[in-house]
Amino acid sequence: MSLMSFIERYFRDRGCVLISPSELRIPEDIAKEIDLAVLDVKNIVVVKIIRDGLNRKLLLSAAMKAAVLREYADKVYLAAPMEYRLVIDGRVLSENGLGLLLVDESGNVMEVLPAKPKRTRRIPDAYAKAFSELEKQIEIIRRRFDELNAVVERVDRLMQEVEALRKEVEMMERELKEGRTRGGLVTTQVAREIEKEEELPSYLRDNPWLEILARRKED
Amino acid sequence: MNIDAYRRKYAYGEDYGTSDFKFGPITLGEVPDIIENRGYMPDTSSIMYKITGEVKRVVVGPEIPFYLEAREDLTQRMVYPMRNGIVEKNDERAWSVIYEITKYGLQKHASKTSDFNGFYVTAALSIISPKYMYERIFEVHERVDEETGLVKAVTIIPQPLAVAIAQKKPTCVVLESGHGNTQISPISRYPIRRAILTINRGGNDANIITAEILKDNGYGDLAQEEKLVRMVKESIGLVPRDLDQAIQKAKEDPDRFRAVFKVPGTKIVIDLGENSWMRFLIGEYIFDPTHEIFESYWKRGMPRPRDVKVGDTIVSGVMDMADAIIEAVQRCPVELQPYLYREVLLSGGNFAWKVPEEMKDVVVDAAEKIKLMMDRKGIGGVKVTLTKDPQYSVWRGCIVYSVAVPDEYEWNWERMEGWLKLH
Ligand SMILES: Nc1ncnc2c1ncn2[C@@H]1O[C@H](COP(=O)(O)OP(=O)(O)OP(=O)(O)O)[C@@H](O)[C@H]1O
Ligand SMILES: [Mg+2]
Repeated sequence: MSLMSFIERYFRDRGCVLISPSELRIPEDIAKEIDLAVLDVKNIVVVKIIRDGLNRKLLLSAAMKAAVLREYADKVYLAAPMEYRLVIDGRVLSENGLGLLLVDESGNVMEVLPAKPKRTRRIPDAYAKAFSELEKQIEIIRRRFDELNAVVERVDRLMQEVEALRKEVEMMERELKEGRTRGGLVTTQVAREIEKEEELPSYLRDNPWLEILARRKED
Repeated sequence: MNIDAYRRKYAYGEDYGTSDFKFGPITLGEVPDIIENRGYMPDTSSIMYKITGEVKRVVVGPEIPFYLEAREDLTQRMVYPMRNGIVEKNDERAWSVIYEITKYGLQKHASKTSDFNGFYVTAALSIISPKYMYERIFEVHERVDEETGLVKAVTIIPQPLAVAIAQKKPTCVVLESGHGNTQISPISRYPIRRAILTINRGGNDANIITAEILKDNGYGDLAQEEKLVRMVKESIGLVPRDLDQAIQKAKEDPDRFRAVFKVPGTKIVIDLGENSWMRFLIGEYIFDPTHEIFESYWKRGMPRPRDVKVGDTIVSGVMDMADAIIEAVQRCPVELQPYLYREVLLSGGNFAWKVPEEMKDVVVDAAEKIKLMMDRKGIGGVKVTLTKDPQYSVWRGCIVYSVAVPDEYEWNWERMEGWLKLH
C-alpha cells in the first residue's frame, strides 16, 4: 500500500469525505500542489505529501508551498514517512499553521502537529473577537485538564505506596509481637542475610584494601 | 578480616558522575541504584504544584516525568549540575540539585530496623575537584542529616581511588575516561597527587569527529542530533591495532570493514561505503590524536581538544595516552615505577570500545591498544586491565571504604580522609 492510501484511510476512518482537488475551484498551478483533499463536516482539509529529499532545504520549500494552500483550505497538512521526523523543523510548520502527519512502515498515521484551522474572513469582527477569546479560555482549560490528569496519576501512585506501607507496618507489628513472645530480637531478612560471610559482595571478599584502610588513623 | 557488624548493614556509597548518580547501601550487593544526575525546577504556578502543596523547588529521579509540562522552557527548567565532574562554586541551582539527589538516595534506602542510627556514607568525586566541592558536599550531608538523621558519618574520596579499591589493587595507575575528560592517577595506597594528570579528551571528542565523518559522507542533517551521533559512534567506531595498516586493509577490502548503521525506528541507514576506513579514526582519536590525518580535520575547523592548566603545568589536549601514563608515572618515586606499570586499570564508558570477532586481526580493545602503545614507546611488560563493570566500580570502592575506615578516625583536611561525624 502506498503512503497516499494510508493517509486516505486515516481520514476516511475519521468520517471525512474524499473530494477531488478540482472541486475546490482554485487556480490550477496551486491545485497541483495538493495530493489529497477531504471534507471534514464543513471544513476543507488538504494534504501535501513529501516523498523525496532528505534535506532541510527541500522540506522548507515544500512547507512554503503548503503555506500558500492555506489561502484556499481550512486546514493544511504536510505528510511524510516517519523517518523524516529528524529533519523536520516543527517550529517552521507551527508558525505557519501547518499540521504534520507522519506515517510509519506499517501504515500507522500519527498527527504529530495539528493544523491550525484558518479563521474564515466571513465572520464579523465582533464574533471573531469573541471566538478568539473563547479559544484562549479553552486553551487554558485544556492545559489545566492536562495538569489535573497528571495529579490524578500521582495520587494513584501515592495510594499504591500507602497500601504497600500499610502492609509493611502490619508485618512489622506481627514480627514485633512474635519477637516479644519468643523473647528474641527482631532482625530483618536483609540483616540476617548479610551477616553470613559467603553473602559478602565480591568486591569485599579477599580485598587487601580492607586491611590497609583499617589501619588508617590520626597519628 | 573482621568487619564491623553495624557497617556491614549500613555502609553507603555515592558516586557523583556527570551523567549518572550511583548510590545505595551495601545491602544492594553488586549493583548500585542509579538515577540521572539532573533536577527539574517545576513551575510554581502549576496546578500540580498547588494541589500537592509541596514546597519542593527541585524534582529528581523517577518523579521527573510526572512534572514535565512539555513546555518550551523545559531546557531552562532542567538542570544538569556537573560538567566534567565539577559543580561551579556559586551555581546555586546546581547545588540544590546535588542536595536533592543526595537526600533522595538516602531516604529511599533508609532502614526501618530498630538498631539503625544513620549510614556511614562515602561519597566519590572527580580527582580534580577543588576544595570547595568537598566543603559543599559535606554541607549537603549535614543538612540532610539535620532534616532526617540518616547520615551518621560522611567522608569523601577521589573516584580513581575508589576504582583501585574496587579492583583490589593497592598499587596501580587508574585511567578514568568519561564523557568530557580522562584522568590518569597513580595510586600507592594513596593517590599520588603530584603525579595526577588530566587530559581534556573524552567520549565527547569521539562524538565530534564522528559528526565530522557523517558530514563528509552526506549525512550533515543527522550530524546535528547529539544522541544519534553518540549511537553511531558506539556502533561503528573501532580502535585499530595500527591506524595506517587498518586504513590500508579497509581500503583494499571495503566490504569486510563496511560501516553500516540503521537508525532505530526509522528507515534511515547510514552507510560509509568506500569510506568505511574512516571508522578507525573515531577510536584512534581517543588514544592517539597525533597522527597527521587529524590535522586536516582541525584545519577545516573541527574543534581540537583543549589544553588544560593544572597548577603550573599545561597538559596538551592531544597528548597520546601512553605518553600521559609515562608522564604520570615518572612523577612518582623511581622505586615505585615498575610496580605502577604492572597494574594499569582502565575504567569509564569511553574505554568500552567493542571488537567485532571477524576483525580481530585489525581491531583491538582499549587495554590491548594501550599495551601496544606502551610497547612502541619501549616500555614492555605493562599489564593493562579493563574493569569489568566500569559504571559500578566507583560505587563498589565507596562501600569498601565505608566498611573499612576506623570509626574513630575523624576527618582531617590536610590528609583529606577520615570521618566527619554528624550525630
Ligand atoms: N560501547 C561504547 N563505545 C564507545 N564509547 C562508549 C561506549 N559506551 C559508552 N561510551 C561513551 O562513554 C561516555 C560516558 O562514560 P561515563 O558514563 O563513564 O562518563 P560520565 O559518568 O558521564 O562522566 P564522568 O565520569 O566524566 O563524570 C560517553 O561519551 C559514551 O558515548
Ligand atoms: Mg563517571
